[in-house]
This record gives sequence, C-alpha cells and structure tokens, in this order.
Amino acid sequence: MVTLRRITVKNFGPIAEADVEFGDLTVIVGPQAAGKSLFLQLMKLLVDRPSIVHELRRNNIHWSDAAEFFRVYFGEGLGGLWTSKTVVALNGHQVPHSRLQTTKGKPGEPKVFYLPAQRVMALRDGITHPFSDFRSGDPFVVRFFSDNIHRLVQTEFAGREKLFPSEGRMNQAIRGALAKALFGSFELVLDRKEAQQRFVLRGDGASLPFMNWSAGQREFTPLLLGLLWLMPAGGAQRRDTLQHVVIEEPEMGLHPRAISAFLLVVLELLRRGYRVYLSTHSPHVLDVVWALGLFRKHKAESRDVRRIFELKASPFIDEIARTALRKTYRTYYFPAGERAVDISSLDLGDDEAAVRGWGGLTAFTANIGDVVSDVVSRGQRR
Amino acid sequence: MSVLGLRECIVRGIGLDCSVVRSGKQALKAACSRALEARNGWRFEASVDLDGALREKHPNENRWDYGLEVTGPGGKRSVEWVEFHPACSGEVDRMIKKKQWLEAQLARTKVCPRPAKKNLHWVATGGIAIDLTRGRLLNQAGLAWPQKRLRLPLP
Repeated sequence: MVTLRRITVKNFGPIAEADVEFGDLTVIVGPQAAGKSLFLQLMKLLVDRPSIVHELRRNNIHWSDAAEFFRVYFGEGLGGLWTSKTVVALNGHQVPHSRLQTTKGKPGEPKVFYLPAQRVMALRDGITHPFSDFRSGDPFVVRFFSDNIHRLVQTEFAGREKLFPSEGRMNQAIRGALAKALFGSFELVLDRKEAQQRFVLRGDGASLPFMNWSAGQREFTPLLLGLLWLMPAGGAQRRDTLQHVVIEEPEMGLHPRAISAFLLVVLELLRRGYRVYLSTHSPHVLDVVWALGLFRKHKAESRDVRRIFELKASPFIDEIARTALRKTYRTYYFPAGERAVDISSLDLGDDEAAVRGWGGLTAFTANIGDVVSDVVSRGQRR
Repeated sequence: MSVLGLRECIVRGIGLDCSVVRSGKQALKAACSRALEARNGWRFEASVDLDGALREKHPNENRWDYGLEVTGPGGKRSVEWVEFHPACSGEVDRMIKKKQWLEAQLARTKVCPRPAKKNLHWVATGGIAIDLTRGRLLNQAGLAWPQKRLRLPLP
C-alpha cells in the first residue's frame, strides 16, 4: 500500500495552511470555497502523478509548464493555484511543483479512486461518458471518474439489463439497505431499446428516465456505480491497485436514512481494506464518526455499531462492525483562508469552538437551541 | 442577578437549618470545587449541599447537587445552582427531572425566585456525549448545554 500518512500544505489556493494526518477514515468539513476539494485533488495528484500524466497523454493532452498542467488537472481558471509561496509536503518530505507535472517515469496504476462532487455530470441524461466527452477545462477527477463508470458499463455490465439491486458485488445486507433507502420498489436498469443505452429506473409498471428521477437518485446513482466499481465481482476485496477512496459530499440530495445506508457502505469499504476520505457538510456523517470514535475509546462491541444502523446480527454485519471498531478516524476543519484545525475528538465539551461545534456544522443548531432555552426559561419565570 | 441570597433561599425558602450553609465552596466535594472558578472581581461567598441535606427527606427523588452564592463588585450577588452529573444522552431526562425538583423546592414558600437559565448549570462529570435530539429536549426544558468547567457568574 502506498504510504499516505500526512500531507502538509501552505498557501495553496484558499488554503492558508493545513497539516493533515490521515486515519483509515478521514473526514474534511468546512464552508464552501475553503479548499476541501482542492486539498483532496492535490492528495490524488501526489499519490497518482504517474498514472494521471499517463492518462492525460493517452488522451492526447499536453502542457508546456506547471501552470498549464495545473489548469489541465484542477480545471479551467485554477492554473495559478501553486504560487512561489506554496509549500507542499507528503509524509514530511517537500514536493517541488516541477516534480508533479513531469512526464518522466513509469506510467503506474492509480491508487486513489476519486468520486467528485460533480459526479452527476458523469451520468447526464442517464448516459455514461468517456474521458474524451468532456471539455479540456473540466477537472481531471471528473473526467477520470466518468471514464471509469463508462468502462464499467461497457465491459463488466455489458449484456446485463438490471444493474441494481443484483447479486455478485455487494453483500445482501448492504444492497438491501441502499435499495430501500434510495430506490424503493424501483430497480436501476440499462435500457438498450434506444440507439444509445441509457439508465432508467424501472418498477411499478413504469420506466423513469433520468430527468424524472428524484434529486437524490440522480446524485446517488453515479456514486453507486463508483461503489460497484470498487467492489469487483468474483470475490476480490479491492479493485486492481486501488487503495484510497475519496468521496466528495456523499450526502447531496439524500435523506438521513439514505446517508446512514451510505455510511454503512463506507464501513464496508474499510472492511475491504480501502482507506476512505470524505468531504461533507452533513452533521449526520459526523454523528457516525463521533460515535465510532467514542466506541473505540470506550471499547464498544459490534452490537453497538449494529444499533447505529438498526441492523440485525449476521456474520457479515458483525465483521463490518468489528472492523469499524479497530479503524482510526480523523476529522479536519478547513476554514476559508485560515489554518485547518484537527477536530478529530469531536468533543462536544472541548474548549475550542471549532472542535465542539464540529467545524461549524452544528453551530447553527446549537445557537437555535441556546435561544430556545433562553425563551423557555424566561417564559417559565413569568 | 438574584437579589435574594443563598442563605435566605435555603432557610426561609426551602426550610432547611442555616447550619447546612457553609462559607465559600466548603459544601462542595473537592473534585466539584475544582471545576468551579469565580470570575475576576467575584468570589464564592457561601455554598450548600442540597443533595446531602435533603437525601433523607427525599430519598427517591432526583435531587439537585449544590447551591452557591457569588458576590462581586458594588455588592452584587448571584445565587447559582450547579449539578455535577454524567453528560450523555441517556441522562437528559434525569437532568430535566432534577431541574423540576429544584424548582419545586424553591417554589414551596414563594420566597425564592425561580432560577433563570443562566443560574442553572450542568457540569459534566467525564466527557459530553449528547445527541442533537436530546440536546434539543434539554434546551426545550430551559437548560443549557453541559460544561466541563464553569466560571461564575456567567457574563
């Protein structure tokens, strides 16, 4: 496994300073435009540079200098992210920007699978899109993710109609939880009647095209395809050389029950030996991370993990739960333009506001609670 | 800011003997005492172990721990009610009952004012692990989020 213990960044886009030590599950929170996504994309670049360069060259994309390379990789308008004041270190060793854009070295295989926030673009109109379908200014992680699920559909799912729920890739308990929370009585199928095969939701005698799906279904289906990519058929625990999974804002469009089902999948990814990196705006995601951190500290049992997800005991679920209790969890708060804060304890009684307020995710609710208790107390005294 | 002092609340309000009122923080257990500080310019004037004083009379009720009086500049004074208790979701209901018990004791003679939220304090013994729903229940009952340490009175 590629060693990825720590990344230190200074003056990189909106990130003033971040010193992030990774856990088996690492969660990043923070307001919009604070650099969470840029940090995670930088992480992929640091680990996967050879395969990224190879993929770009394979698609006949060339660059003349570092700024142009960063524009190609991070996307249009982001060529100037790396300035003379930028410092980046991987595991304590400084990385010069010239090393990131060089075409020298062996091609290599990707170690990081990246599910970007813009993943819905990979399934626009219910159709998968290869790398070349995107504009040159689109971020690499979006194009590459789209290309992966395009290949999945074109090769491993070729000739199949029903893609989900179906046996072979996910354990029934997880499959069932996702299907119930996301699709109800509908199934995800590939409609090949038209000239171009497209995804539809079929059930209750209806066949719903992409535009008629709920917002959560549109957001989640590309994520689901990514998860299926990570869980290959045939009993393999992991896909090829992949070791790290980045998922941006998994909660988009999802009801808390669906978020819970997704978080169970995260635990399954951890069980399979992946290290997982999430960015999120959801207190619900941190609820689970908070609980797992306390469970570790207080030596909880697998049944306690099961209770979080309201699951019945089974050998598979108990293995997921036991594994979750052994894993390490880290959480960082990226405030815009300021130093990132390690809030891993998520201690609701911590002296530091960023820690007890979970990087601002619970601050609004806490403030409402404060005002309500003031009003109730005042009313009771009248 | 309560005008009535702790001694009046305890003796005239609740009907306890004045001997239960101790000077400073002397009524508190050492570990509890360490969690409380007085704000700059203020000092702890008196304290009472309500839980201990009323244990025999109310053996099966959810009794509140302590009452304290702090005095400050210009003769200001404030009566603070502090409960030291594990701060986890499962204890929120008990804390609400404790608050109700304290209010009932203070309301017996109508001498003592009903304590305001800023004078009622839950000090967490150990970590704090309260889910949002129970936290809302706490707020809905007029209680503030538990703290690990307190500097009294609150601003």
